[in-house]
Amino acid sequence: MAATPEIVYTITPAGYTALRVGSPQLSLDLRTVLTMIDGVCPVAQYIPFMRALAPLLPKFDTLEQAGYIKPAGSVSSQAVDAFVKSLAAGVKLSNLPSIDSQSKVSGFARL
Amino acid sequence: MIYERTQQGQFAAYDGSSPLPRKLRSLLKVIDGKTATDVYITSLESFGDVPKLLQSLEMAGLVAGVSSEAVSLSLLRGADHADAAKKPGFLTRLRQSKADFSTSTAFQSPSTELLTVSPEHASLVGAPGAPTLREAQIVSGAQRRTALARCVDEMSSFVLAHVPDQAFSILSELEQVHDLDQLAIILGGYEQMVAVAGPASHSHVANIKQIMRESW
Repeated sequence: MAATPEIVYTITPAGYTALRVGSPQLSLDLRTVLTMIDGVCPVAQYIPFMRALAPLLPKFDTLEQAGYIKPAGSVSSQAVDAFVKSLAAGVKLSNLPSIDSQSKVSGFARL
Repeated sequence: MIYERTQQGQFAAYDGSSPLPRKLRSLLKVIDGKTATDVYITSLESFGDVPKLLQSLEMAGLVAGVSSEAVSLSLLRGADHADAAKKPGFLTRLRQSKADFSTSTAFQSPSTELLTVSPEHASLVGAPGAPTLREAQIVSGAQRRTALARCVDEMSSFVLAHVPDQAFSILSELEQVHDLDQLAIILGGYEQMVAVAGPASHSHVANIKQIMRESW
């Protein structure tokens, strides 16, 4: 499945292993993107905050094809559209709604 | 080059409703306005391209670069960075704790804490040659701080070695821990997060619990 801005990805066990022991398939850019995946945010939410690593969609594709990440869910395209339009209109971060699903956050944040 | 958080960055780092992905938020939190970028690059090598991540945060307007000379001058003048000068950044604290548990002041609580005295300490109060209540409190406090420093050091080293992809989140959570009671509260969540490391995580967590038990 090709990466789209609506998809929420999570790291697979193979992805964790690749992060721990390294992998020839994992370039520095791919490793950086993989490290940042949290299983909560849709791809759209990474794009404005990781611009130095653009384009991101092909990197998500490569990581998925390598089996390091897998889709864990998705958000609505309306939510993504609203998010992108707000960004384009220069809305301040403090007024920009998050479109992730905080209920899926694991670990410390759940305590 | 040294980065400091902008006003927007300050909001994004600490407001839970911010759209910034949480691992990037963890990175943003460790930007303290006085640690050189080189330190982040060498210390967080396992996280990938730290310069590009910092550049991304800068492009998003969340951090801004300041020259190290400017920070040094500011520290000397005791102006904006007075608090930062008193409290070392998390990487510095990590190194200090590794260097010397017993003499490091890195994890001391900023305020004077009123500690609970155990019955065995209380029974000593007033006995000839025994420590006073205040002395017992001080000794107990020092032991707890040393134990906390040991636990945090063990946990930091473990996550950097075994679960580097979670280390941003965990290290920044550990930075907020100022006493053993707080550590005890988050230990369950920590145990879950490091469980991916397999059997090594079990003995590691058991060791942490042992250190905590010894100080109580």
